[in-house]
Amino acid sequence: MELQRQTGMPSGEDETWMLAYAAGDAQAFERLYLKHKGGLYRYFVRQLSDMTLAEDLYQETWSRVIKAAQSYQASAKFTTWLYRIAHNLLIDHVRAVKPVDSLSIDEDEPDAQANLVGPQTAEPDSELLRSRQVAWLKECIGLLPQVQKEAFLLNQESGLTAQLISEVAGATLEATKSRIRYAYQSLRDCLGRKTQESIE
Amino acid sequence: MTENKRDDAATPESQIDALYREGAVEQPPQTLDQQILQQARNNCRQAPEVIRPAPGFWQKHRYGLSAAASVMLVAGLFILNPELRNSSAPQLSAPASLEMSPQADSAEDAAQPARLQPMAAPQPMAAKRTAPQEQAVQQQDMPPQESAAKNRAVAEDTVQQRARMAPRQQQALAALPRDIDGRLDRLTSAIEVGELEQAAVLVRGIAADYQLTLPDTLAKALNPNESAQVEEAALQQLKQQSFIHQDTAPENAQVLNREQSERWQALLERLKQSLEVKENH
Repeated sequence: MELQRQTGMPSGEDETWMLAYAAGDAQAFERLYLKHKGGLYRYFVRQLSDMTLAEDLYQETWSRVIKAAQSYQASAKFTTWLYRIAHNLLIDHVRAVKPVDSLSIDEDEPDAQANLVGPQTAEPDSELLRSRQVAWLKECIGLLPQVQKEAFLLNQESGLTAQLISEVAGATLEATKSRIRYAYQSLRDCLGRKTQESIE
Repeated sequence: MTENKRDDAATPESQIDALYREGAVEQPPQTLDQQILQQARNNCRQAPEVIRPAPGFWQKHRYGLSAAASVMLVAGLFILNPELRNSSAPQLSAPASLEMSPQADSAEDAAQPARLQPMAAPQPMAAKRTAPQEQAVQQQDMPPQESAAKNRAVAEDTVQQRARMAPRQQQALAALPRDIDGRLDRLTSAIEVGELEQAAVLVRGIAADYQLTLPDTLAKALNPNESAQVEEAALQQLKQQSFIHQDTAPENAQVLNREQSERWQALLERLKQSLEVKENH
């Protein structure tokens, strides 16, 4: 808190920890790492089929954070900065955009998604079905277009607002909102279709 | 009812979010965690040394030390180079001499302001000296003590006399080169353009500095006219100036070599002819 007052820092604990680490507090970095390691790891793993590449990029992201710690200024949210580094590494390594297989996006029917994820009501006590749905969702996420996938993952893992996601991804706010909306819609369609297929 | 509708509308996305959170269990391997945390600890130990090095003595006093070094360099140059020390005094009075000098009427004269400065400067060191070259130009029929007294008087009145000098004579004196080749070049050009007064001053100055005797016919032709006293004062100045430069010049600097002697003789002959032509006209 004293550090925040001295530097005119934002109030986030991430920024405080980062500045503390820059001042020589290794424990602050450990706290920062434990907080963000899962989300960042999944950000890469869900977007890359190559697990080794995902781990390399994950490690490289933290390496850059460590090296840039001395010059870090809390002018932006730490999470935005962290995922911006990750985003840049990702687009450096993965340029190809994987198309969504047989996923249709129909913006004219916004209500068409109703209860597409609702098979659990048909099979109330199905733990097995629930675990299947989790697995289907992962598959469906893998089928999303790259930009939608990234927007969805940033929304889920980083907890950033649409505005901050747009800053990370280098897109406009409207485009980011559209990507997130289409991602949810595509996932609903995909899950509904897989559920239907399992029933049949 | 309204709240139920809102819940229903939020349900599909919430269900996806819930499903996602349920499946978001992937974590990086522990080895990767250890590597990253170890790198962070290593960087943390190195960082203070690299980023904030304590300023050393040389960094702390860099401005004072650089200023002191500059002063010592300049002082050393003045101590090691006496010519700089000698030439510094005349340069202090240069503006006064420049005000007295007439406007140069040729590009060559205008391009040689530096030669004017030593002539116009007070020369205490030269006034105190005695040298064989000075004795050579003293009047032969005058007792030594009287001649010395006259020289002192002339030296003291140099500035006032020069103010009364004809502009062309001042130019001739001001533009005199220091080395013999330059003076001979100057003499050549003066003869060629018909500036015989300037040529006469040059001849007398060279003859005085190099202890050269002039042919009688030419000596008569170069006999001082109504401004003889002024020219004599100028010659005294020339002599004294040449003594100053002898401090740094080699001993044989006042001796003409064979080529220069031949050139000197030829120029004397040309000057003599020019004077005869002028006299006939």
